[in-house]
Amino acid sequence: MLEIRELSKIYENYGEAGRLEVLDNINMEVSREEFVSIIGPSGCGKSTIFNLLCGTEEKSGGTVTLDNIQAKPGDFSYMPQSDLLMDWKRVWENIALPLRIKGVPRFLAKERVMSESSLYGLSGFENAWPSELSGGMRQRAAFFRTMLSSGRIMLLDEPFAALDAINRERMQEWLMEVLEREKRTILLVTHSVDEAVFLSDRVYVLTPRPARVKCCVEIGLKRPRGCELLTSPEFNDYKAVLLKNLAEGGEGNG
Amino acid sequence: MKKRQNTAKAAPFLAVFLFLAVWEIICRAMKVETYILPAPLRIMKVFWEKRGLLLMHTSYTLREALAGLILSVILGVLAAVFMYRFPLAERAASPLIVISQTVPIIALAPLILVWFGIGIGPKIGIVVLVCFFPVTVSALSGFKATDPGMVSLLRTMGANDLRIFTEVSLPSAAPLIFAGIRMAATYSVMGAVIGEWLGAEAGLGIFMTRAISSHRADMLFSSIFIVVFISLALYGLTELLECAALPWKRKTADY
Repeated sequence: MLEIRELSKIYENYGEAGRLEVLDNINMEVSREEFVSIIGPSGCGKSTIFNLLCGTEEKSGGTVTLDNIQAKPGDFSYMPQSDLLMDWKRVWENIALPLRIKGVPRFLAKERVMSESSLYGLSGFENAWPSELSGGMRQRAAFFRTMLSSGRIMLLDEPFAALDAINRERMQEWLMEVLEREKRTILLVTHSVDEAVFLSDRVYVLTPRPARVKCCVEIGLKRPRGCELLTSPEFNDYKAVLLKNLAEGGEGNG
Repeated sequence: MKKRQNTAKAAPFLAVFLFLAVWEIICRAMKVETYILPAPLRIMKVFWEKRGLLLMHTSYTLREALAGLILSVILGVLAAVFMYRFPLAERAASPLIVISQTVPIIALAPLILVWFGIGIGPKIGIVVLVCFFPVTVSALSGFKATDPGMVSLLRTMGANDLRIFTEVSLPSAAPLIFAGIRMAATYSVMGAVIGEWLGAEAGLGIFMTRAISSHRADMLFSSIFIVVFISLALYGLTELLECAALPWKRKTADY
């Protein structure tokens, strides 16, 4: 279980104000194989939480533990907001990058990518250049790459934000299918209420900056979930709860 | 569509041909003396008569230019890597590098002759002095444009600095590095000729000074044509190399 306790982030020497408080006393838990989303107004510091977990930024206070041991950056597999595929590597080389960095020989890494590429809708495109892929395929390739990173917890930072509405829904359903097959522990940052309700077991709602945890909502919708769910009354009830909490903003209860 | 593409390809050749034709006509119509401005056909004739001599001098100059160019690429990229890795080195060295480009080589050449003699080495040195700059500057700005998002992504995968450099910085900077090499390639022949100008065992620069002192403008122009031609050839060669080295660029160009 991942436990985030009293996590805070303050930027000293920030602009004219002198300091900027981004995260204030964030407490979260993510159980094994649980899908948890973080939702909040834009600019509230959602992505900062990921940066702190990955170690690309230093936290100002608090603890992060994984099964009661202090978490290391290597415990997380991070999927960035933009796909960050490298133009100069073929699709399979991009996907195999985390394996290659861990020292897996080239041919083994290639074999692994080739054998699983159909699950990600990429078969036949392994040898293409990323510039030849559509937006959705690029996101799937980036997701595949994240799946091959060894971190036990996947951090998805608005993975579908760059896609249009139709592709977005398709990708959400697809993600659901992949996760049915291969269970993972996932923390997702999003600003889409629909996405959060559709995908998650639980949703944390953050307040505007400095971000505090406003509330945590259990999403009791049965799995597997399909697109017909999007128009069901229960779905809308959860949506209403989240929207209400987002609209209230203000003081969090920590 | 096809026809239009062919026309587009032919346009530059047509322009050069027209330029030469106008030149020829003016020389004939105004009866310009050969020692003042030789006509293109006359230049071609001398070109053919002196082909053996020209070939010998050209091979000499080409060797200097190529050796200097290759050396510049190696030194330039290494210097850029060093300055990218150690920003303090960049701060310290960048004024010196810019100053090195402001010194008029033509004024320095006689001294270089005194210091190092008339062999091939100092000529290569002058080529490097001229070509080093565009390679270093373009490579450095390429490295600096490394996507910070990719760097932190690779860090989360556990990559070290060397790995990040070879996987991200170097390939993302490659198109800019090649732009610098292309520029250097066009300077390299000129650099070699300047080096030879004031003293050499052989080379187009020496051939030129001899042509001038014997008032043979037709010989001078035949060697100028060669300088232009081999500069263009070197430029073309770097484009071919770029095409081979950056296959992903080639692919996107098709779309």
